Amino acid sequence: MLSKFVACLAASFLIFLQITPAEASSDYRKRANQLEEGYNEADVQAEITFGREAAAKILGRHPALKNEGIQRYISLLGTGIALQIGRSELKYHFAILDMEDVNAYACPGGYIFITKGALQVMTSEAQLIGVLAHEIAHVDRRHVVKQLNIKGKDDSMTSGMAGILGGSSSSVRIAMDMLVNKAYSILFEEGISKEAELEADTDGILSMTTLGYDWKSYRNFINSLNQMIYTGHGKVLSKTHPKTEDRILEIDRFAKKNEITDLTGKINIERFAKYMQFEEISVAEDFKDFDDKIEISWGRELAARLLAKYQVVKDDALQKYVNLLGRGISGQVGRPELNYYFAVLDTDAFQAISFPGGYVFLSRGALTNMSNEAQLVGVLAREVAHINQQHLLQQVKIRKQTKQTNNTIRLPLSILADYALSLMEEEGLSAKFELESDALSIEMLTTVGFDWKSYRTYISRLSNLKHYPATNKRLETIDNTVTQIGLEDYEGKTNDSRFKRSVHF
Amino acid sequence: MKGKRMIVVLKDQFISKIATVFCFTFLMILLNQQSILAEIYHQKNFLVGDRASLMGGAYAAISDDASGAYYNPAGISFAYGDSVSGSGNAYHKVNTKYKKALGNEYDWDRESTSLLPNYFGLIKKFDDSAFTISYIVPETTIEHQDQVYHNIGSIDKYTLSLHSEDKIYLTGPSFSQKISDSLAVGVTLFYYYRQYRLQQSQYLKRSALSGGTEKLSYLSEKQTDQGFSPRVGVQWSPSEKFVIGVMASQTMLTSSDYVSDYSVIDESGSDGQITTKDDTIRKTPTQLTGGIAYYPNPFWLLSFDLDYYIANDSDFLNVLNISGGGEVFLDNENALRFGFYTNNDKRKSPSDSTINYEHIDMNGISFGYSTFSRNSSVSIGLIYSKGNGESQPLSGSSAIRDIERESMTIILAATYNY
Repeated sequence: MLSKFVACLAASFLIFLQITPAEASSDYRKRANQLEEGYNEADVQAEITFGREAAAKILGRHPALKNEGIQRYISLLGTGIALQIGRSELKYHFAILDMEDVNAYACPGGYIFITKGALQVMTSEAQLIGVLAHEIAHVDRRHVVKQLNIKGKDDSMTSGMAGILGGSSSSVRIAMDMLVNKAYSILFEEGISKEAELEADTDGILSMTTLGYDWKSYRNFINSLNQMIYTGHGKVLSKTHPKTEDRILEIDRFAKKNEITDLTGKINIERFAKYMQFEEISVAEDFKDFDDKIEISWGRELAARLLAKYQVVKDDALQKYVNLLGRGISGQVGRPELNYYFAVLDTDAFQAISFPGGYVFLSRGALTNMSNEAQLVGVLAREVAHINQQHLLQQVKIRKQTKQTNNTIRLPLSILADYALSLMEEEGLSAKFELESDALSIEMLTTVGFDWKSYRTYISRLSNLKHYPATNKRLETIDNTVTQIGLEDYEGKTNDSRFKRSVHF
Repeated sequence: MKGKRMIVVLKDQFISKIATVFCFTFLMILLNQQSILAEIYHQKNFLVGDRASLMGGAYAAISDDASGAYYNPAGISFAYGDSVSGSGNAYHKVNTKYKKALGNEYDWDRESTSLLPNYFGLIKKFDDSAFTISYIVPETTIEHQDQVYHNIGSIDKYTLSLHSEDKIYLTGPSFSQKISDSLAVGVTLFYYYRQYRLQQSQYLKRSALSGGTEKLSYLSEKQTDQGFSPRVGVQWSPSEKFVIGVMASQTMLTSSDYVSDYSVIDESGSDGQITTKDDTIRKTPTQLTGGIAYYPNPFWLLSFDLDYYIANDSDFLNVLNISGGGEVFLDNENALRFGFYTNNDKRKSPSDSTINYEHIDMNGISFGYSTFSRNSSVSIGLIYSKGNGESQPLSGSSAIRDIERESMTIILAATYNY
């Protein structure tokens, strides 16, 4: 009996080994209920909750680097590029792990970690951008989410019945609890699949080119990883990622296919080097141009006074949208040492206003005059430019000087705030500063890939606003700037539909 | 067959007296107990799995859920994510009618009813492989039957009290590995456990013309079988939309214990008591299954299986069963399933030279509805089968009677993906 059984088995296997299998995908086996489904709000919330728990687990085992300057730099850069290439429903978080090992990790929900060891072997901002874009790609493509099948709670009647019938037993709940451990294991021990890593590499390259960064810098970084592995600084990396040779091969194939082999972009070696100071430094030392944190304190005081006069628009979704957009731009083109805040005020009194320290306000009236996201980004970029150039501080200083006050900064904050606010409301900034910001905003717009012509159209529709230079003067400045940077024919994003979806009163 | 075995072990004198009483004086009374409902003689009495059972058990080329552990373990590596699935309850009813078994005049009905979760499986997917733990009850009979007959020939009163349970349990792990997107192999190692219990009391009072005497008998049987039931399978896709599956299985019993006690008190015959023990390990058939599935689109699925059972025992027949099934999605959340199957008997047909033989071939159909949410599915369905055959139901007799059987299973099952 047994011999017959064994003979049958052997015969079965022999028959099948003789046949060359058709290398067809098994997707055709999916039934209608298994077809690719969208992710709903509950799924996203489950992903965020899961990601938060996984991030907490990681931080419980590997402490964050205690260096506020670098953390803020990474966070601003990351937030900026996440706005461009990340999922709009997520808020991305970036942190540095105090580990010598060279690696970076992406938890579901937008929690991204990079090790101190990785930063120490990087030589430019472009390399950092490449690594962050790679990790954001993991989040965007939901690699871990798919691998662990993280889904929101199913409140349907069918699910309830399945639970009653014994489908959702305690074993399921235990299995759910195990997932966080599994995620940790995937990130630090097993790795995501080779295909997913290569996909994140090429997504990252694509993002870098979109953001105007030099993709070859990232390639060079990947190429240098072998050395890290050989010297014992890439133990986890060697377990969790494909071979460096395979990654380089895939990156080159992608570059060739997409004809970007000769494309260059920003590298930002100096800025990167400036912030990569791993010895403990105080935040105050970052603000060399002004006394201590006076710029931020002053800006906060001004913002508080403005908010005492005007209500914010009570629309959380709108405020979140403007904030995400603003932080994305400031992450790209703002000052890394500042935290930027954006809010929409419920007034037609002014178009936009910005205060030192990163406080930007937009009026409801301004938003109602806009028709797409490029125009909004242009206005926000313009205000970020004011802050970058410290226009208000300069103007207050100038004014005070004309009033025989030789050191504005040492005046009581409240007096200065009152003065600055009245200046902004009654006179506005000087025409020189406004035009300078118009020019800078065009540069910023194109840097982040938006359509400068939309912004020009928006300006052209404004009829000589009070406190602003004449409209034709502003348009002339914009045209001159575009000619100078050679982007007359550049057509960037306008994101009309996203704008209309998010902005409505 | 236990009835036959019981007779064999009775002492000659005792046999002759009992046979005389049974066959000539009280012809057609004192029915032979056969485990007719706990079918180790049929292979597809109780179909397993929510989807598989409603497709007639034609699942060798599909098997992409935890029930694949039973039908073809190769398929579980094609499962859609991790899941827990089980039948909440399956209501299973079998009616068997022995025509003119009582006094060559009255039909004798037997009925088994059970309500139990007959399937539970947990599947864990990895990249190209899957692991499953499953628990399956492929056979179950529960009889609780008290019957009283009056004025059957020379019998004034005949009382039968029959209580039996016969269940087969399979539980164990399965593993499947994809060799490529179109080829997978799998193996299941089930622990096999069968438990059979029977208690049967019979009482008869003869008519005054026959002496007015009484007879009382009591039969108790217990049997426990243990062993392993490995299954090995392959699934291969020769082209997109077609999958071929083959599976081989052989239950290998490691122990078998049978004990029976029979007592009789007869005013017009002899009293007696006999105990029988038997630890002979019975031979089990080798199962070879081949199936094909056609996936024309995500809304339709058709499958067809051939199951061939090699008896490995000259007392039994080799058996071929066929089954077919379909699944049609009305939309992304609702589906209908249907199927047909044969369930042929491996026992030889009765003849004048045999005693207590029985042979009945069954044909069945299945139909059900499933509804899906994002993480779950619930199925409800009906499986019905019917068959005709011949039996020698009377103890120690070669008298042949027609037999009819109907079985019905109502399934309420669920799958929960996590």
